[in-house]
Amino acid sequence: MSKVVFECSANGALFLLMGAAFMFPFEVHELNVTAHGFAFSVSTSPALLLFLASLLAWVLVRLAFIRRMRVRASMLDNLELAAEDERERAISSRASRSAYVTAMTGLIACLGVLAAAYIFGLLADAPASTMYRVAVGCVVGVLFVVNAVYCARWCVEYRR
Amino acid sequence: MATIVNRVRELREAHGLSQAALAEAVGVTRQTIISLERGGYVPSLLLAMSLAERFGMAVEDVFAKEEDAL
Repeated sequence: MSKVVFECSANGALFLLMGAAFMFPFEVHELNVTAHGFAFSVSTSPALLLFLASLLAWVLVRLAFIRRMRVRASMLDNLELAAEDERERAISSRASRSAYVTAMTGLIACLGVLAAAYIFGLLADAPASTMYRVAVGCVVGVLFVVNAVYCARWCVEYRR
Repeated sequence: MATIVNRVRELREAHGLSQAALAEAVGVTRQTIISLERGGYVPSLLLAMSLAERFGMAVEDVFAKEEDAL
């Protein structure tokens, strides 16, 4: 169970950081390189750098966790789906079903929110970036909730 | 609705096996044996046969179908 809690907690934190990075860039630093017929630019922000640093730290912590807990999984496997036996496979299947239903419901609700905002002009007076932020917020919210639902269902089933 | 009841706990104790030892013998986790003994998990046919084989009995002597009063 610890592997699922670990992976889902890390995923949840990364989703929130990713959302913060894309929704609130604060100050953007741009690096532009131009040469003969070639242009290259990189845009970043403190929140995005924090997200990337967390991503790198997560890879190292995950590797240490897999070795310490002796989980039968490689670095490329999804730990929340790695099953030690047939019961864990069955639990993952049930948790995936709950997560799928939540994902579909959440995405449809998000589309409804975006469509309503567009049709009724709710964001007509807002800056152009507001719709982008609402969309990113919806995606991050759905990912976070789906992740939490998977983790909760997995743990409840495992305890039975 | 029918359910499956089992004698895993009784047979395991009769054979002097710990939950961990039985789990290792049949290739599952200890938590699966705990869940089986509580009646919270219905095993696959393969696991049921492995358990019966470990106890030297037939599957129907370890597992039985029970009709609920629903």
